[in-house]
This record gives sequence, structure tokens and C-alpha cells, in this order.
Amino acid sequence: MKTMDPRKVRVARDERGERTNFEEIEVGEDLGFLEWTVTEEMIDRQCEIDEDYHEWYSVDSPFGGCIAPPLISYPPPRFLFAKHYNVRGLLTDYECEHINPIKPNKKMIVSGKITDKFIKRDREYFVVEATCVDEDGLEIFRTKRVHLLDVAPRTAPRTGVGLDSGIPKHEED
Amino acid sequence: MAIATRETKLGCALPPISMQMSREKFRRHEPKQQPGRTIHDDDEAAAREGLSAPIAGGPMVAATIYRMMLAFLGEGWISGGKIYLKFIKPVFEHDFVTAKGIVKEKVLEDSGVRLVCDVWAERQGGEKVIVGTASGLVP
Repeated sequence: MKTMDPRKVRVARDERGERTNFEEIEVGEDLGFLEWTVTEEMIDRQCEIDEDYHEWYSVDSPFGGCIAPPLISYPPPRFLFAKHYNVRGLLTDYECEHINPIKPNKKMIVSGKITDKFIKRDREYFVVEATCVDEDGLEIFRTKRVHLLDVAPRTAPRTGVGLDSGIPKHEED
Repeated sequence: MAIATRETKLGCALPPISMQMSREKFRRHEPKQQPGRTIHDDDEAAAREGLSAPIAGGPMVAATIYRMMLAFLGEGWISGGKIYLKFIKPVFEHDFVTAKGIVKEKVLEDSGVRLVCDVWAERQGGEKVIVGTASGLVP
């Protein structure tokens, strides 16, 4: 039996279930919020992932104690989106304003919404915007990301089975 | 200690930061207890998403630019930093990526001078994989 080149089909489902179609993404949808607290272990791991070692992340900083590398802020808005939609996707545009440092053991609230979706060069994209405020009401960051739904064009049949959902199933909650 | 000051001139080059990519490094994003098969570390998972090979996560490559901005601006990057990046090419496991940038504009703000920089990341040979702008404050 002849099988289709995986680069010519779009993934229809993975371990998290059916992949979200472009038509199902609702512009203006409130993605809700999640509570987020960064630990020293999370900071160490982020430094290791990015090979980003700095005394401010490990010893002390001018902000009073250790702070986290700003890019530790990437996953929470992604998790927020993943609670509503099953998209692997690829990040194509990333914008962030780092207003205040991220400090360990400080409870933060990250909230977000879908602000746009569009089609360009036969590919489908959506836009997520999110903000983060700490338990004292201090704004920490604002971000806006554009994600590509599928590498294959939107005219490719959605029949494939994916191995990577973008968010490990055990991390959904 | 930051490098940038109010006297930093337009056209000043930022300190380049490099990172050798590898599949082992791509795998660092995975939970150590339950590693999965992802487009970052598995040929089949990548192929099923239409990719020719596993690719680096965008934030991991962007981290080289973040490190450069911290070295250049110090506190004014952590509090007041702004960044816009466009990921224009995939980065593969054997790539050697270097972040670079130049100061293109100085803007007076209430809390200091904002240095606006053109930034990019390029692989060996000079092909750009990320382009964008980043800025931060100097007192």
C-alpha cells in the first residue's frame, strides 16, 4: 500500500486528541489565566537549557535577590493556549516587553487571549497575547506571539498522526 | 556590568554570543523523568510535522539574543527591555548560531535613554535565522 509523504499532509491527531483546525480558533477568545510561581530549581533548569549563566540568576542581583532569566516567561502563555486548543505549531514571531524582573517564589498570574488569525502564503497563523502580573499587582511582562499551525500548506489533507503535541500530556494540568 | 551608556554611539556593535546546537541540547527541554518524542529531538516526530529534520525550539535560539542584550544593557534589559523577533529559518542540530546586533536609535524616555538595536541570529556561514529589534534603558 502506498503511503503519503508526511511532509505533504497535516497532522490530524496526536496523544492529546484531534488537532485544532484553523476554523475552530476563535479570535477574541479569553484563554483565562493560570497561576505561576518560579522556583530556584526552575531557574537553574532554564539556565541549563539556554546555557545562560549569570550571577543575577544564581547568586544575587541589583533587584534584591536572585531573578529568573526573562525567557523563562515563554512557556506559561503556551500552556494557557494549550488548555483550549490542540496545536503543535511553530513559533514565527515573538514580541515581549519585560517590565519587571521575575523573582523566585513569587506567585504570578498569567492571562491571555487570541487576538488574531490569518492566512499567508497558503499557511494558517494565529496570534496570542498574554500579560503577567505578580501577587502585588506589579506587571511583569506582556507578550505577543504568532504561531504557524502547520508546516504543510492548508490545502494538504489533514490525515497524519503526530508524535509531538507541543505540550507533554502529563504537563497539561 | 552593562556595556551600554548614554554615550554609546549609533552603529555600535553589541557583543556577539554564540551557541553550538546539538540534539542533546534540544532534548533539555523535555522533562527528565518522562522524555517524549518531539520535533526537537526525534526524526520521525519532525517528519510527521513536515520538517526535514529535528529543529531547535525558537526560544532556545532566541536565548543567544537575550544573553547578548543582558551583557549589553544590564539592568535596563531586565526591567524595561523590549524585543521583537521573527524566526525566518529553522535551526538544526549541527548549527553554530551567533547573536549579533548594532545600535540603530536612541530615544529619550522619562526613565532614561532607550537604546534601540537591530538584532539577529545567524548560523555558520552568515545565514540569518532570526531577525528583529531589541531595546532597553540606560540611566
